[in-house]
Amino acid sequence: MRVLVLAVNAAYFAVPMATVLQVLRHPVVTRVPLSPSGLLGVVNVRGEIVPLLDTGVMTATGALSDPPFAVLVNGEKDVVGLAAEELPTAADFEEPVGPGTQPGELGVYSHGRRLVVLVDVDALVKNRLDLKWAS
Amino acid sequence: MGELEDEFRPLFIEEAKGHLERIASGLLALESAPDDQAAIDGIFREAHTMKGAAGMVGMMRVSRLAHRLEDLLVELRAGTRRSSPELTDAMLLVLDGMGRLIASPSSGDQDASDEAALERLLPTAPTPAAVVPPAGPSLPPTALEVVLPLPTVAAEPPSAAPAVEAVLPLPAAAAPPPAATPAVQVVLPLPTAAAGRPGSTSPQVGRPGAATLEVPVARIDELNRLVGEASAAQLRVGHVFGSELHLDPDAVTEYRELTTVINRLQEVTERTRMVPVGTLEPILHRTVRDVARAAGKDVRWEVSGEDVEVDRGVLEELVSPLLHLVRNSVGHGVELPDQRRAAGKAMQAVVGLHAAQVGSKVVISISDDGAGINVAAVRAAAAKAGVDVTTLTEEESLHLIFRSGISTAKVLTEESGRGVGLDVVATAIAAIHGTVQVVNHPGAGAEFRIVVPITLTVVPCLIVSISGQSFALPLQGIVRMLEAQHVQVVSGRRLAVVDGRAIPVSDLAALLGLPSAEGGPWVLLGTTENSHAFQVETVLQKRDVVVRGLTGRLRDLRSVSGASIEPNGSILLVLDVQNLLERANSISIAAEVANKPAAPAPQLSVMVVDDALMVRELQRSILERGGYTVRTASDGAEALSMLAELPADLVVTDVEMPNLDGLHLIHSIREHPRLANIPVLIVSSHGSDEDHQRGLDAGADAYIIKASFDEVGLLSAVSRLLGRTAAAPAHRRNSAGVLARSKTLRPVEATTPRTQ
Repeated sequence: MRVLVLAVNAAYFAVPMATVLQVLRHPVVTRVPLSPSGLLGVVNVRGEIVPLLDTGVMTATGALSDPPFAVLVNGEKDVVGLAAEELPTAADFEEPVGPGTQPGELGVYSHGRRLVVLVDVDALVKNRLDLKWAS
Repeated sequence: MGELEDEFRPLFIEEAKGHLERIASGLLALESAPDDQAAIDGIFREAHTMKGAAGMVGMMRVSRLAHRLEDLLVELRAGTRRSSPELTDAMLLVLDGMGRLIASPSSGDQDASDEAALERLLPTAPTPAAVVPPAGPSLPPTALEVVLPLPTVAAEPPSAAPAVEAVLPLPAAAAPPPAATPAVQVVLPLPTAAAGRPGSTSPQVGRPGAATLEVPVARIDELNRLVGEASAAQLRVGHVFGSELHLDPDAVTEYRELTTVINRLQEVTERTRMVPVGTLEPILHRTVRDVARAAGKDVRWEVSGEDVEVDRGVLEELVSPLLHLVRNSVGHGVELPDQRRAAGKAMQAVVGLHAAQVGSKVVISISDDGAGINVAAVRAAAAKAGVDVTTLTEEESLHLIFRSGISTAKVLTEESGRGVGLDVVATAIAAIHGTVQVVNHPGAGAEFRIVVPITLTVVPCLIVSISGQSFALPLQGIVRMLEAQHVQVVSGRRLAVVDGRAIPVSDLAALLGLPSAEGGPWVLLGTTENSHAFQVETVLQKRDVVVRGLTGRLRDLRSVSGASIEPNGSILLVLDVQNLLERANSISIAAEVANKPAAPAPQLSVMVVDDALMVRELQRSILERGGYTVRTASDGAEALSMLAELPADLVVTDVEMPNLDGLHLIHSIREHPRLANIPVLIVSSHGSDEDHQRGLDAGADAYIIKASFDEVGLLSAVSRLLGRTAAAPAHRRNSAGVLARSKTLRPVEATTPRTQ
């Protein structure tokens, strides 16, 4: 499976390439006051206002501030941006080396010397962010 | 169905809405002027066109019903049949049925029975000679002479009519329409020049001319979106000119031309969303007529200002409130003919719609010359519902009809006969940033006046700066601006006297969880009678903002009602005024204490970390009044990030927080080379000795239990910690003893010196 690997807080996770629309470099993030901690802000993508999700919060590795990259993915409800701390790289995953342990995790894959968790963005958002959103 | 039918059916469905509406308008006009041959010709052309088109796309039932209407119109034109209310009833119901058949064009038995039922509503089928399809609009009168006059069959009473089908979404809370309402399809067509003047007694009923084209709304919306995208792309090109080519884009002729064209394009596409108020006239006229007939009343419908244009989205939201109001006016406002005569009034009542543009708003009134509103009955109903009406003026009592929870339906129907669903009306109007007022003339009628913005997409706003970020506040919610006034703390609330009234005051930055700045002007939000002052950093300007609604998961955000893409590509957030008011009112502050500790040097800064906004705001207020500069963070991770960027002199933190809790925050601070010396005060609801020990182990300097928290204690603790820090900043050890004198603080017993 073709995937895009994102770095966040020195950890790595991947999303299916089929869901990826675009990678933004240096996204200009507008902070939204009183928003859930999982929402880093909003970005202008060709005239559309797109939520930029804090992948640090999503992956429980610590909140991010000014991500140098944002990956736009086609979610179930809408297009969302995922913050990334390094230029995302494409990879081909074959067999997982371990199962996902959290909701939204599709499995653990070996990528070079790293272990990378493949995630279903919608499921991850639903389980990690929506509750906080509702609060 | 053939491929050709498949291809053209959607187009027919779109067009048929306009045909049906124009036929209905024509029939209502004809009822008032039965000899208007031009009106008959216009209706005939619509029916004829519809018959042919429906046949072409395989909707034979619709085609046959259109043919039956044609037959009747031929008789009317020939004078062999006279227009009558019963005939109009029948034809309108058939039109409604045709609308349903078109909307659900299956070929099952249900449709067949529907068609038969509809056909039975019409007068007896004409003789075979009349069945010969007319040649068209120019049918020679001689062909009609063979049609024999047929007995008129009374239409079924309105209560037997099919249910209402509202194509437009109605507010969820809207009351269902009365059973007497006939089938109605509320469709807002795009304006067509040849569609006839709504409300005119003799409309030019006709098909859209070559100069007009009916286009699906989704396509217009997509066009608007693409134009917005083109504008954003153009701005990016301008940016590239500057950053990559070092050129002023406005010095490039082609770029200036592109800017001009795109700006013009934006204006034009915005205008495509505008529709005349008269677009709603047919459905309102129809409702007036049907309710009047069901109630045995004689009502004339008057319209003026129907050309006034308003955003389609606004008009869609007005459908339900206006239907409520005209039903009330006809059903309960105007009297029966005999009652009117006894009161010395003309037997025919008048109910009208009047629209006018006033600046960036549209005023739409629904008025009647009925008995007016029985204010005493309204007061009695309100009193019964628990409202203290003893001190209310006449006008205030009158406005009780817009309140929910008062059983207006019963009281007003039985006694004053007014007000069913008026709370729903008020709610629906408020949702589109509008207001509704009532003017009562006892014995002479009532007028409901709705004021709404012309468009929801272009909103006049005040642009303010808060913590360096620009925000838009809709002018609709702003009472006025003023310089900062003297603030007093009364019963835990910050109040200031403005125009003789004490109003609450909040710091908007703090309310939004952003760093506060000293001073700044005030913006009064709310209403003149009930306003709340918000201090902002700077007022930048007043201007129109093209607001787009937030979509997807952003729709759940409470604090922001929309956003706009600025010319430089940045996003301007439009704050939700109502949400700000609710939030501000839910937060109170501790009472000012007389003997508060002496204020420290103002440049000392404190970082307050708590995931509860109320706690953050409370601590911020206390510390700011104590003379400190305060920044806030909603969790440890955010605080750490902010501290790394700009350290604070002291950190006040909760323990239980999402993302990074207070203990881990303290640990991270102690591990950080630039932050390790910052004293940390824990304010937590955890009060056991074990909790204290954990705080100490993590590196905290002091510990306050929320249950015993007060202003004096907090300021004392902060003052002592900072005083000591200032004296020996590089040699902090622990807080033992330092805090022991404060009754609200429990000392943390240090067991080991902190390593750095």
